Amino acid sequence: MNYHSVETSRAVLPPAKTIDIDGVQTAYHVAGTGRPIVFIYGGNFGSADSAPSTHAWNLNFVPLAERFQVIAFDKIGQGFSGNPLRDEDYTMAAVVRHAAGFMSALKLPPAHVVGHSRGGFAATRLALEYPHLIRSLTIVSSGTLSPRVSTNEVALSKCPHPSFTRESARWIYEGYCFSKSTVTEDWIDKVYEVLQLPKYRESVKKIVDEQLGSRVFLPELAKQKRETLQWLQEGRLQRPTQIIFGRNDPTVAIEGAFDLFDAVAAHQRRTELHIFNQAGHFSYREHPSRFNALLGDFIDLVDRW
Amino acid sequence: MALQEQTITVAGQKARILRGGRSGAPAALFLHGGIPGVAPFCGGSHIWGDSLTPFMTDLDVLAPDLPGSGQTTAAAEPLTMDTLGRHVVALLAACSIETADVIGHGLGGLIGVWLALNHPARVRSLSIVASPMSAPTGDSLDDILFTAPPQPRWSRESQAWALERVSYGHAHIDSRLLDTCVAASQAEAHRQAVDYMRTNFGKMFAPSMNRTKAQLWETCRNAGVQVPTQIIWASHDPATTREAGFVLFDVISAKQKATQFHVINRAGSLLFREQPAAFHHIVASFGEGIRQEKPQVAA
Repeated sequence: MNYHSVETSRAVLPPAKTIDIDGVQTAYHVAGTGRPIVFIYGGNFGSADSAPSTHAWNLNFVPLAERFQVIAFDKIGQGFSGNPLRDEDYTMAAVVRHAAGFMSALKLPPAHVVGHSRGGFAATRLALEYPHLIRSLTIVSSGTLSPRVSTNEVALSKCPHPSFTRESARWIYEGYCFSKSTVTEDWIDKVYEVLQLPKYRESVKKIVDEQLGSRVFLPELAKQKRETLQWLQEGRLQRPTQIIFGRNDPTVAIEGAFDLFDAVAAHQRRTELHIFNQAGHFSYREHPSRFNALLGDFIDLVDRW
Repeated sequence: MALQEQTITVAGQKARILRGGRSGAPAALFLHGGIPGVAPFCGGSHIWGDSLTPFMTDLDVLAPDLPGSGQTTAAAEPLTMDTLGRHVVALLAACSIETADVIGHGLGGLIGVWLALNHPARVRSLSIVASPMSAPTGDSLDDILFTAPPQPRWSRESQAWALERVSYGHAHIDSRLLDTCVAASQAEAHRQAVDYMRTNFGKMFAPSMNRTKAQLWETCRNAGVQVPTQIIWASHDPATTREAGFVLFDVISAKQKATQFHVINRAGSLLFREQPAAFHHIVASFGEGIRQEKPQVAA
C-alpha cells in the first residue's frame, strides 16, 4: 500500500492531548481511524544530551494516519509527560507499567506496537506481560533487547558540546545515524524544547546527580533483560513479530538482529527479519517510504489472518 | 481470479507466460528457478502456484516459462545465462513493458542479476529470492543435497523427493504441484534441455553462471549495482545458508543505497509457497517504497 511521503518539517503531529495515568500526566497524539498502531520511541529519562519525544515518529505517524489510527505517547519521565512519582519508579518496569496503563486507558483494541531501541525493549515486555493489549510487535534497532554488546558508549561518549544544548543533541543524533543529513532542524528543535523543561531537568537531577541511573535504572534493567531473553528462549512471546535493524548502526551490532530473530522464530511462525542498508539507529527516519510500506503491509498481513 | 496462460512470440520463438492483474499498473516480472535439464524437479511458472495471486490487485503480473522450462523451448542458440537474459529483455519488449519490478527465485535470481547489470533501465527493483547461485560460495562444502535421487529422474516420485529436500515442510507439495512438475518433465522443452545439458552444462552453462557472478562482483567493487535490490532468504533453506544471503546483501549494499535483507521464518527454498503472505508483503512493500522515493542512484 502506498503512503504519501512528507517533508519532515511539514509532517506535524496533531496537537497533544493529555491523560492521567496513575497520577502521571501523559502527553499523546492520535490521528486517523481504523486499526491502532502505537509507537514507542527510545531513550530514557534523565539524559542531558538527548531527549526524544513523539516527534521522533513524525515521518511515519503522519503518512500511516491515512490508513490506521496512529498513536504516539510520551513515556513516563520523557517528552512532555510527567516524571515518576517515586524514586524507585525510575525503572524500565515502571515505563512498561505506564505504557500498559496508557494503552488500557485508551480502551484500544489489541494494537500493533512499534518500539525503537529502549522502546523496542518496552514493547517486547508489553507483549510478554500484557499480551491482551498487543496484536503484533515490531522491534526496531534495539540494543537494549539484543544479547550482543552494544557500543553506544564507544560511538557517543565524551560529547564535545555542553549538555542541554542544540549542539550536544545534534552531535549525539548525528552519531547514531548513517547520514548526518537525517538530523533535521525540526528534530533538534523538539529535542531542545524537552531539554529545557523544568520537569525534564528534574529527571536529569535524579538520574545523574542523585545517581538513580547507576543505582536503580541500569541494575534493574540488567535484571529485567536477563529475564526477558530467557522468556524469549522459552517461547513466551506469542505475537507476530518483525525485527527491523539498520546495517550501519554505530550502536547496535547487526548480529543481535539475527539472535533475536532466532529466539523468537523458534516459537512464533510469523516472525520476520528485515535489514535496511545505509541506515543507522533510526531506519524509520532514514528510509521512511520503504519503512512505512513495510510496516503497513506487515500489519495488513497480520490483520488478514 | 487467476493468472491467464498466454502463448506469445519472443524473438521469433513461441513462449508461454502467465499474465494477469491490473493492466496499466507497474509490472512485476517473476522469474522461476531451476537450471533447465539439470534441476531434480522441473522449473517453470507452475512453481509459483497461487503465490502470485495477491500481487494481481496492484500490479501487472508476468510469470514466464523461461527457455528450456515448462512450455517454452530454448532457441537454436546455445542455452546460457546470456541467452536466458536476452530472452527476458525481448519478452519485456514483446509485452510492451518498459520497466518492471523483477523477482527471481534460485536461477531466476541470477537472471535478475544479469538484467540489473546489463539492462538496468528495464529493472525498477530487483528481489533476489533464495538464490544460492547468486551468492558468493568461497571454499564451500560439497553439495550433497541431491546425491541420491530416486530413479528414474523427473518421475513423479523423484520430483516429489527433490521438492521435499529443499522445503521446510511438505504440506505445500500437493498433487497440483506434482501434476504440473510431471507435465513439465514430459514437455519438449525439458527433453531438449536434458539432451543439451548432458554435454553442455559443464562446457557452456556453468561457465556462463560464473561469468555473470564475476560481473556482479566486479560491478559491486566499482560503480555498484544501479538497481534497488533486496535479498529475501528463508530461515530453513536446505540449499543455502543464511550467511550466504547476508554476504550477498553486504556486497551489493556497499554501493547501492536502497538495499534490504529479509529472512522469512518456517520456510525452505520455495518460501513463496510455504509463506506466501510474508513473501507478498515483503516484495510488494519494497516496490511501493521504491516508487515513493526519488530515483536512486548508486552512491
